[in-house]
Amino acid sequence: MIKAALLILVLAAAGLFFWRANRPGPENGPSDPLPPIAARRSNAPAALPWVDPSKQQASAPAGKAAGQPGPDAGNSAARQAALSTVRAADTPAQKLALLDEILLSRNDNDPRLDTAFNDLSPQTKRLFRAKFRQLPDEKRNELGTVVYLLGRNLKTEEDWAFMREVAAAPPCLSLQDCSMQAKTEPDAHVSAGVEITLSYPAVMALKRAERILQAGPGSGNPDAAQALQLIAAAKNSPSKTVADLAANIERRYSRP
Amino acid sequence: MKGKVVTGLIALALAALFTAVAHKRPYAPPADLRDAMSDGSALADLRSAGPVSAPAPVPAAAPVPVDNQFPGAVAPAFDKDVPADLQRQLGLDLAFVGTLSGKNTSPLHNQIFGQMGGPSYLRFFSDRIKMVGLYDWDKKPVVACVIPAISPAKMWLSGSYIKTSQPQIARIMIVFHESRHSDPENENWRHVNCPDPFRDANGKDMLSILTGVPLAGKPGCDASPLGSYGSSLIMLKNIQRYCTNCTEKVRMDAGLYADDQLARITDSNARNAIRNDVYK
Ligand SMILES: [Zn+2]
Repeated sequence: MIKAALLILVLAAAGLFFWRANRPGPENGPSDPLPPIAARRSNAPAALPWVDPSKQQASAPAGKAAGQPGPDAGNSAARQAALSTVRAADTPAQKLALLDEILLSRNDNDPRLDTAFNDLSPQTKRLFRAKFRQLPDEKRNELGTVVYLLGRNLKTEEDWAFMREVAAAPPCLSLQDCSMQAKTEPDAHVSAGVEITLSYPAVMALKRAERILQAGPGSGNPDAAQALQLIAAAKNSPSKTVADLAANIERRYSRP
Repeated sequence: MKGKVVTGLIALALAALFTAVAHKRPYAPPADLRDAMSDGSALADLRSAGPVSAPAPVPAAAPVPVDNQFPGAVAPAFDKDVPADLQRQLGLDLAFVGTLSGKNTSPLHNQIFGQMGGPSYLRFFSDRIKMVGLYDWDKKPVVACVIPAISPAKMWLSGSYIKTSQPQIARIMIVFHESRHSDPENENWRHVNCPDPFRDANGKDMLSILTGVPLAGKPGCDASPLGSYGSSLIMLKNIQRYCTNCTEKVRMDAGLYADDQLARITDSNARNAIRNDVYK
């Protein structure tokens, strides 16, 4: 009889151990080798004062299920998953797969955007440019994200030529169909922000050029000349938003 | 003695098993939300007001799908015809904004939202929006709207919210712009007509990017720093400047869309207030 009870106890303990091992854990231990930016993100949000803590905890898996850091963006399971993917994503194909995963999640606050796409190889950049050309024009955020990541890895003339091409590209005419302008006049305030979205890939290219110029001109900033060329290309964009932004940046950073 | 030991061991085993099972329970909406959804009381105002040019009211609200959990208690009730993927995207976007934390807060942000961070944003949304309905894009190209005359606590989203591709910050800007229209102050922060002529910093006419029609004289501007344009601008600008757990992309997007909104604040005092708050 005692043996049977002991057996039940052992089974129960095993079950409990299994559950603890698989649940979204508490914070990482000190041995967790997270990159610094992810570590900053480990600060769980403050408890919502009007929410029962048990409910707050219960809502956490929502983001996880969707492949996105949910309310508990810093939970260690999600970060472990992110870290393992970063480690694995060394080949160009794996980098592309990781990019696809992030784009699919529609989560712009995925920490891997900051950590997993630095120092891309020439082959990976070529794959990303091919990805850019494959995406439908209406995928404004996805296109802009690819440009944003390539903009963090500008090294060769090939890299800069692509950015100039993006900056001078024909404008997207509407979010539903880039090839045709919307027929119906919406509420005047509905279009707020749409200008940026329609021009988003080119705007991402311009913001990278601006970031480079912020470092100042001269021999300490070898990319400044390339950045100014990009801005000059964007000034000829058929998109008023892009041309105006380029003119504003040029006014601020070009030498008299 | 032997019996007591056996009983104790079995009790321990059952307790351990219960603990493991109890924590696997899926999230359930809060009791008050379940009640509102089941008896439709949350729609009472909408029924009595009746639609004007708005979408037809749907008789009952659908429960939030189990895999569609919102952060904390912010889940609104959804009309039955709101597609699950649209509900899910709104949940994910609010979950995103609910995680944000910041090292500082501008005075106007403090006045409108409180301290910069997820709890403030979720509270701002959940205090105002209790219901979400589906707007028919074919009637009017609207991504999101609040129609205070029908129900100030209800936000209408069109399929465009998920069918178009926008940065997450742009969707959040739209949701918080519309949430501000839920407030009773200043006629629900009704917009004012844009000046005529309405020109940008380069002296060119401001046009609707969607149709090319000039915005001059159209009700698409604000005269207060606290209205829908101003409040969402201040929120985004605080995210750009002070967010400590945002990606570089999110902060860049926040700055881009915030700066774009400034043109819609046409009163010089209001613009100066915003400049002093988040641009100095
Ligand atoms: Zn509005």
